[in-house]
Amino acid sequence: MQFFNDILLGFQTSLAPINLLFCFIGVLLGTLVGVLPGLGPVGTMAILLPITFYAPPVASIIMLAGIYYGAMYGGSTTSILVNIPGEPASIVTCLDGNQMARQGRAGPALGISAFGSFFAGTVGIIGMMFITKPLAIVALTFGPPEYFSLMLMGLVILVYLTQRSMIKAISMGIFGFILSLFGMDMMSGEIRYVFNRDELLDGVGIIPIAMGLFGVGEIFINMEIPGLRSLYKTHVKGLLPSLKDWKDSALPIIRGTVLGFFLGVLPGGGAALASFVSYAVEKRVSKHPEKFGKGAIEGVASPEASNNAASTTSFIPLLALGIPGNVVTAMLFAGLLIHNITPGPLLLRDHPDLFWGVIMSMYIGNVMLIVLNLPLIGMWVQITKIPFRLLAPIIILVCIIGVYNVNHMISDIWLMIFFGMAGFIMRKFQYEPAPLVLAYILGPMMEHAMVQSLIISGGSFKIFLVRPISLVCLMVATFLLITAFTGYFKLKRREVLTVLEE
Amino acid sequence: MRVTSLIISLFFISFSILIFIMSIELGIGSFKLPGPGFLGFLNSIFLFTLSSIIFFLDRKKADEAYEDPITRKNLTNPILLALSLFGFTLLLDILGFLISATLLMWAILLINTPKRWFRQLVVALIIVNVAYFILCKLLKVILPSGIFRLQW
Amino acid sequence: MKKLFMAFCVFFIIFSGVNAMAADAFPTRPIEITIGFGPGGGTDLGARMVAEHSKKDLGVDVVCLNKPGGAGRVAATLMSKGKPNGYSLTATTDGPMISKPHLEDVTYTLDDFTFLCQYGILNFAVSVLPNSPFKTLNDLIDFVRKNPGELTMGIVGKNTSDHIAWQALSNYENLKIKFVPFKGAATTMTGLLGGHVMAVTTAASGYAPHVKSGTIRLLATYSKERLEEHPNTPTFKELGYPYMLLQSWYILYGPKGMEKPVVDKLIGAFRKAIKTPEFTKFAQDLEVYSENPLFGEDLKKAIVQRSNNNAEVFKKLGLMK
Repeated sequence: MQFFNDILLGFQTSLAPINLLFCFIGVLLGTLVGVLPGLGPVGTMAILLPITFYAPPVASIIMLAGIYYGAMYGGSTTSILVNIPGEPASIVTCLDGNQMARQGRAGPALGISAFGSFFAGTVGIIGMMFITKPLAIVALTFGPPEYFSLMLMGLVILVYLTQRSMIKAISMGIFGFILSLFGMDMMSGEIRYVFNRDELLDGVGIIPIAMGLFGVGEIFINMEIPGLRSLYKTHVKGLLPSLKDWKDSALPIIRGTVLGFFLGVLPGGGAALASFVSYAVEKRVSKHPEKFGKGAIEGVASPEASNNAASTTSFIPLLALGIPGNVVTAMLFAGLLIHNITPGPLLLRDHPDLFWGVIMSMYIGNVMLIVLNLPLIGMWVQITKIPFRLLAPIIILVCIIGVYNVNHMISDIWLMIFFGMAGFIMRKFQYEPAPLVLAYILGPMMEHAMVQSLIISGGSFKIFLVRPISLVCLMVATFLLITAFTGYFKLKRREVLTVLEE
Repeated sequence: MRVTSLIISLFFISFSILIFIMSIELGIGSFKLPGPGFLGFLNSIFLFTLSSIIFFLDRKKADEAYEDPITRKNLTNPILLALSLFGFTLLLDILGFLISATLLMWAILLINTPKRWFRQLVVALIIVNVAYFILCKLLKVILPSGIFRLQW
Repeated sequence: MKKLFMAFCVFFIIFSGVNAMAADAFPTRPIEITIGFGPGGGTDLGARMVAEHSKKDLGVDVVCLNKPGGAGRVAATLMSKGKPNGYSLTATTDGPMISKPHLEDVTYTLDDFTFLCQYGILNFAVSVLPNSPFKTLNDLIDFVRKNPGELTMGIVGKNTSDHIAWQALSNYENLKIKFVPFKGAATTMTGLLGGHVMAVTTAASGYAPHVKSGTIRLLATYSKERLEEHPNTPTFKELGYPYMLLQSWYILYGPKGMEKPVVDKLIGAFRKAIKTPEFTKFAQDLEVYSENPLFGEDLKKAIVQRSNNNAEVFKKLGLMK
């Protein structure tokens, strides 16, 4: 009975006019910020945080939360339209989403993406309502050995992200991994590969790399084609997903939601990992994997669902245990502290109106977002009609501002330009950027986990095999690796056979 | 120009050698207690191996008909773009965002369509100021204002 | 000749008058505070609060931007090369001032800065789980003596101030401890809560909320006296380890060569901002409240002193670069 009282309390709180207003402002800002590449929700939250000091606590948290999942909705927009990831979790959406846009199917891509996000978000919230405590406790059992195995599994997945040469993809992955090692190392306190440049003390940075490889690189490639009228080869074929699209996306969305739901709870796990994993899973279970990378809607539906589920469940460690799992929840954590609310297991007891109010307002926020985003699809699709000569400078400008906004350092712009040129050359020679970015994100996490585990175990590798979750992840990683290679060889053999037949 | 594809492999090979050396300097440690250079060491070896394989595979293929993806003709625009971006970044701190970005936008517009100079400038001004409004006024992004401290 | 001389005198008088007026008129445009850490942390939030509450006194907008990098080192380096016009300031912890110069190759010295104010303090403590067999710090140390190399202690990154303190302790008391580095206070606390390490040492940003919720227990604090917020937790000093004294400061500073009127105006405004009830309450909530914040020359003297103290300890531990 108490439970239903709580939900009622939550709805009452979330429907209070001021909370509705703040929710709306939050999701609106979030969408805007998510659409603009490079500008993450964190920056906006940081600016608004002192201002929330003057606002009621529940409303402030609702608004800040809204910015976060609003950004998750908006992030896929630029990925699909202009091949620039709005934030790391949307990188995978670029792979197939942009291809769909070029085939005139930007509308369906955006639509399925929005709907998948809505479905995943809603499921995530329902999950939060019922199993917050148990899930959080399970999340705590993930220690360094489990993270190591999980990240290793994630890295193996990068071989699934390639359409062409496996060797080149792996090289890109290794290159990305090495890049992630630049900067001050948390584990040893040493400063690595920095070539005496202060700007590299914190590493190269995912934003300059992602914006450079995808955004600026894209412009370089297209500038090469003289007189290019438009990036999009065919005109828009319709705004809504077709029946076939819905059918094809149904299972991927469900799978993505499940994956994202669980991966998001892990502190440090996150939406990006979830999106990569769900893409690889879809490709693995698909009956036509060769369509991936050429505009397969499953490659959009699943990652988008999983990154939304993951961002929703990333609230669980915060609300249940007072542990911020990523930078954004750390912001919310700070927001709670400012209002003298201690996040942690007592949050539910001491501030039930906040706890349930925030959860219920997430429903409302999700509804607001789908209502906002669906009509906006018509507007976004118009972007594909803008001629390239106008679109190119706008994209460059947005990328530059986005990358500068992270650290306010000109060196980041230089890095982005460098990666832009590198991306241009790479793509000409069939080296793909996605494995590099994935390895860059997962590399440090894997290294930290490895070092931590070995210190705890005193140098013994048994720790990875003795703990059950870690063992399972390692087995899955091995399985995926082997099947990736056998699948690849089968493909190569088929190619060779067809050539011989001719 | 089939050299270009080999150049990339060579870049990776030299990069991996560089990282290899730096990793050893940092200290590899052992398998039991990895040092700061451990993963750099391993990865540089892998990268060296893979890029060498690619290098030799490409060299073998060099005898076949080879259509170079990069030809001198269509490199002009990308190179102009690169130069504009360099110029922009160099001027950014001095002239401030509003002026540098306008020049950059104008340059890119002109690279794609080298005519109607004045109209392109107006378009550039519009783009920059609209972006400035949304990002700096609404979202409070902070951009360099240069020595003239131009902002609005 | 005479006319020239007269003209020169007049010009000189006017010029110095104008200069004086310019200093009086400070500030005439927005002031920019560069925060050397990422958004959401104590340094960031504190600086933003100071900025917010000094606007009134200064009469201009005070904007903050983040330039994280090297735990404040990048921002400090940039500031050391900055223009001393008073419009460009930096906020970081005192780490880049008192620790980093001894451990890393930095390009600045303490004389490159004009220290303005201290806007907060950061305390450290050792935490364990409530059901941990270690009821007091001495239990933990006894355990280490009986089982050398068995204890796993989480630290927030290698060679952070509290890690170095524990290295000193291990050195003096002949202890073998497995220090497990984590990235950020939050993941360190997660390591403790999940039972993956037996104890952790973190700053207040890590332990404060969890102590309030009762999910962890503090064994000892690194402060001179017992902390107000945690009156039941002994200090290392009480327990017999008087050299385990640690407190980070949040400081605001500018480059060297700032003019006295400008410095005075800024210090005055910051002093008022820190004394406002809103800031006080905010600082108390985050447990970064400083009772006797230092300003200007006093601050500089204290920082130099702290830096020298650190140099001694680092030398003994063999950590000096």
